[in-house]
Amino acid sequence: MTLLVGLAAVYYLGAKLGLRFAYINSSVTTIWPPTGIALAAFVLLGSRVWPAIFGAAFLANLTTTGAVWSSLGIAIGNTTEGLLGTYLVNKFAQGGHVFGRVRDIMRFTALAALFSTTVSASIGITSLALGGLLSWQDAPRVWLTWWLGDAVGDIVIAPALILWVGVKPAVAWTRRRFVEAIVLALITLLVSYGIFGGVFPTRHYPLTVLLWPVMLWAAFRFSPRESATAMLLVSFIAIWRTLGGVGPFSGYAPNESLVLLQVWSGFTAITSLVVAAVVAARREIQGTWRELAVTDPLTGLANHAQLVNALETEIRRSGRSGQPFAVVLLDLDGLKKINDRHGHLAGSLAIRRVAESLLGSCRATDTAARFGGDEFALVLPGTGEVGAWHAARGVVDRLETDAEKPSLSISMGVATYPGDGDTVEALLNAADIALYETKGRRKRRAARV
Amino acid sequence: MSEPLRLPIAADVDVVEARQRGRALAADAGFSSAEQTVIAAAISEIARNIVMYAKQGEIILSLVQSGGRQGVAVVAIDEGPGIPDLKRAMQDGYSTGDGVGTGLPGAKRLMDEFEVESVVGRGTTVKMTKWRRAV
Repeated sequence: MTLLVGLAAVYYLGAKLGLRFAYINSSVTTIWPPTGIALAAFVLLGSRVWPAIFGAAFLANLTTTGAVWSSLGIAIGNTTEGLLGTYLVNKFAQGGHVFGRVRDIMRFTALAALFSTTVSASIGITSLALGGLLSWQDAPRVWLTWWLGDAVGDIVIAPALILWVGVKPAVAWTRRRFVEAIVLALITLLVSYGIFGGVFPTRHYPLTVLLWPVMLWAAFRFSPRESATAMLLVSFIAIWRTLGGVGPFSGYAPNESLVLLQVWSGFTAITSLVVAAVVAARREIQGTWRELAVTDPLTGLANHAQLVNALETEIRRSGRSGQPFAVVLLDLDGLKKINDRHGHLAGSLAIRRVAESLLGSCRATDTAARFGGDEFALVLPGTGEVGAWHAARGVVDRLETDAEKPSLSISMGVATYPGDGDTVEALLNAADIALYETKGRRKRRAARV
Repeated sequence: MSEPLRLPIAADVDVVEARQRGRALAADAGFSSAEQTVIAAAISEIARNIVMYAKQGEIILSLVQSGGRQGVAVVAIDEGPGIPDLKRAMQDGYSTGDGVGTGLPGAKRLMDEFEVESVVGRGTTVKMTKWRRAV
């Protein structure tokens, strides 16, 4: 209930703000944030919140014109537009994830911003005309203004709302990042004011391209969320200054200026959303590649390259601190037999079970690696031979209490730095020899039985 | 959203069952093979904990969603002896004497969110969640 009232209040305020810029008809404006608010609300909260949108739209129009039936018609149009836009975005453009991919942004633009808004414009204009608040001759021109206001409302307002509320940030900002965000916001405001603020009052220099460095900064250093927010700031200042009669889009009739400005805003917003999405996607792919380069995809453990890396790091660290560290090599016994008898799927599962035991028994500072088909390793910083056997015992205990079939056994060998070697090769060799000794012992024991 | 899966835990075979179900649930939710291993390992740790210290209890597995992200939530409840020194039980090391320890620090390290509540004589509840990385 609180949610619905709050949403209705936000919508109502947005509508009242928009209607202050209604120049060609008291109900029609090029600045219409409510469309974006409604779309974002439906996408994020679901269509069940429609009564809030409907009620607020009705009230905002009723208190503007006093015409009950026209206001009712307009409210129906506004609500239907949001519901239709949301249905299309959910069905064809990944719903709340719409601003993550270029394809979905294009679909959002076409289906929600450009298409669903024709519904509100058509129903609204018809309601006004039937109510005697608009002459039929004026209808086409007014329709265009209405449609543009709604479309830009979707393009500029909805992304910021959906990205702020709907998408969890991947990582928390560091202090430096926070400072950079504030600087970005300030520069965005400054540049927008420079472009639209009438620094040269008698000349309307068309220097809107000056905005691009700022938008690229937002896209490349931050995420789509910050890009959409920057665009919101820009749009706000641009509208405010253009109405003040300065900047590149002023010098025409008020509605004409706003139409020109909103067309510019729409294209700029979409373009910057696309750039931000492409940058974000690229960053994510890089992250995945980096991870694939150091991990074994089956188990998520470190791979051979990362094992060598961890050993090199520990050798350097121990060389400085004088603390020992240990490396444990572990071999899954009879993997070939498991593969032959139970199939490769059981083999993969067996490998993952060993990985699970390793993950469960190591500490945050340890590295667990799978560096061959059935070969695993643990790198244990600050650990001597006793501690290493203790850790290895943890792995064995986990596998022994594991009632999953087939039951698994492992062989182990331990080597410590610097006693058993002081290079990566020497350490791995020493652990390998220790491993084969235990394996041989066990085989001889088995043969004797 | 699917119904939460309630699994009684009283023996080693139940640990296996819980781990396998957790793995399958994560696989259905689109978690990568590596992430499934991590989730299964964490479930193993807390399930084994129940068998070792409380003798019996329950594990509840469910899929959760937040801000468009999907996650696997694991809740482990037992009415066992409880943990007298929670701080010590959460210490990340091998000093606890026996090989497998309490399993709690391991599980915490493996999951994204981890909460443990324990009252001596009443029992222990562990709640943990792993979020799927963005696609």
